Amino acid sequence: MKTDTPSGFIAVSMGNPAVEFDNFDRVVEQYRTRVLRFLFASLGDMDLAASLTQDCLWNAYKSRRTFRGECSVNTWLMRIAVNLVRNQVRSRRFQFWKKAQNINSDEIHHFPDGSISPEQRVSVNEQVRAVWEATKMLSERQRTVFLLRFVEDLDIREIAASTGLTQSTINVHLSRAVRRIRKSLGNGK
Amino acid sequence: MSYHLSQDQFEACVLRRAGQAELEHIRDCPECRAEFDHFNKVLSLFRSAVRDRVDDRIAREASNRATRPPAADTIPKWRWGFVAAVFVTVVVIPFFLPENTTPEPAEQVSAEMSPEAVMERLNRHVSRTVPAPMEPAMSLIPREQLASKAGGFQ
Repeated sequence: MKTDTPSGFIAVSMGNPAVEFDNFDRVVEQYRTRVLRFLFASLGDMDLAASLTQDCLWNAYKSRRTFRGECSVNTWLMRIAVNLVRNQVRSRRFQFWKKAQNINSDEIHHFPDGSISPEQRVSVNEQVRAVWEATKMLSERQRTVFLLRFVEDLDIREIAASTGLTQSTINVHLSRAVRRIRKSLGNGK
Repeated sequence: MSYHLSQDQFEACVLRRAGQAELEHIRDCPECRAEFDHFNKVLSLFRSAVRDRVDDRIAREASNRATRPPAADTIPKWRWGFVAAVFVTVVVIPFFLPENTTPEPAEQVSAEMSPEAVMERLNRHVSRTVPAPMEPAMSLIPREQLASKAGGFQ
């Protein structure tokens, strides 16, 4: 039986759970972008994110027989990605922050020519930059749940499955993350 | 008394956990609605910024793959054939070649070990005037300079 989830992916909840891994090319094609997106948003380094995406998919392929289908493939891959980010941040904390501070939001946001005025472009870039910088100031858990919620559009249940945290803990982290982001935008009291 | 949403209430609205009262306030209060809409818009811009960047990367990789010839075509088949032929010639064939048959030394040994041959070699050895390794050097010395005394040439 297949179940549509709020985030738009398909969860295989019955039958052979490893069946989706039989065609691993398809799994890569379907989920690679999501994993890369989460890793890039978490680390702020596209090359590192691409490398860790390969690691994530390789780890998933190696341990595909242990996948019991208790969660969706997407959630399972996200769990591996979250662990990779955690290891990366802990092992290379200083390099990470150095790189994270060098992110330029002008580089990450592209507008079609003429779609907005130069003034609007500057304003939007500043806002995106503010959110980007604010996410780097969050704790690792706050950043992870914030990105899973607002970049990947996962619901609380899926975030819990991906991070191993309880739903109440996730709610607390999300509230704190939103508060800090809002404050960084100048709206928080 | 506050006329606007508290921080907790605002966060509840953003996280879609707000109650009916908060939702009604958002709907009725222009200030709170403007702030709520602005915050959601900024989050949406951030999300699209990240997504655009990743989509660009994926698209660039795809175009790179499209312009690059497939790996199988980069090495022509005849080269693989050549490599296989060299491998067979160098590694495989020597295993099946008959071993180099050296002449059977047993007969020579038996012939050399006959009593006549042994005596002949013994006589030749005894009649030497210089040790056998020095015999080639003796040919370099002019014959008239050689003086024969007891014990051989000096």
